[in-house]
Amino acid sequence: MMKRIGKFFLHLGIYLGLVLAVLFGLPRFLSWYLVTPYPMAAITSGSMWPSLKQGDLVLIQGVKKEDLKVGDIVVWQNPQGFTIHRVAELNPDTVVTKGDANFTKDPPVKYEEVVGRTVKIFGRDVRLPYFGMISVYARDKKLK
Amino acid sequence: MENEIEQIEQMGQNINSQENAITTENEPSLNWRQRLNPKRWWQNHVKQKLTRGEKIAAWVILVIFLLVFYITLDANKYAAQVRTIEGEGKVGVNPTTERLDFGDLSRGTSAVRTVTVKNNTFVPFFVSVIKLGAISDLIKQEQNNFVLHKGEERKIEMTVYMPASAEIDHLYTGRVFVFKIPAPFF
Repeated sequence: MMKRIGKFFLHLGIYLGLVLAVLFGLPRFLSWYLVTPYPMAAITSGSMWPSLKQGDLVLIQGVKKEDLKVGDIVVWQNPQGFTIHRVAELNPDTVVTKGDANFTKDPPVKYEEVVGRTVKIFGRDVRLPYFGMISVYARDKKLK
Repeated sequence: MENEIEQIEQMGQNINSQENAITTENEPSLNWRQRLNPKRWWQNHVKQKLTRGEKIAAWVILVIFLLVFYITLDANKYAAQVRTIEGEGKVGVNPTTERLDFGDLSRGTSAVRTVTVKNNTFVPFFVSVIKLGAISDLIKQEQNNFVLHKGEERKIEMTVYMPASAEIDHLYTGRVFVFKIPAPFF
């Protein structure tokens, strides 16, 4: 009986260890691998529709100013949080972005505020549909 | 020699009688009700009796399946569509259709359609709206996942806003399901 209980707790410990390793280890690994403090971002609005949809989770990689191109999807920090939009103009000191679904461009932002750009595989942005739904739900709750 | 032949014939008769016994065991004369009995079918094929736990699990799975089947069957289903047209501020509507037709919209314009849900039963309902298809990203509704009490009626407003990135002359289609899940404890 004691042996069975011990075995049960051993298995439970292994499973919990694996879950914790994935939960805490994966973001740290991605942060190191993609050279950015924010390696993942959830899409909480439809401003990039149809390229990125609400509820998608995208991977972000660090990018240097000279590597940025018009058409890249970048993440930049603002007082309200983060914005994920496409680069529309590259100026010497600032970058201008625009959401695909928006009619107007965003105000210019400094290069230092750009956190990174989306990771692409075979020229397409990597997106995990529905993996960012928790962030969307939390945002909706916050707005209410 | 004759004895050997007799022995062989006897063995053949024994084998035949065994075969007959096996065939009669496997194919007993059953009426249609016995043949369709799931318990008998299970025992004939698996050759094992269900344990009490397995019986309980089977009943639970059956009840869940029937509940999901009923909820899906009882859901209000609507075909939804909207077409993007060229120009600015143009809206064309078709109010006579049975479907959730948001008409023709140019980029930057929007259209609203309403779905009314009424609870005519004594049991409260948990109402949940699920959208599928290409149009699902364009439809926004304020109310979702709420409880509808006895005799209560609510209008769910659905708005489609045509964004700047919508493809001109493209028909965005999909389906909207309004699920009504019995929630007697709410």
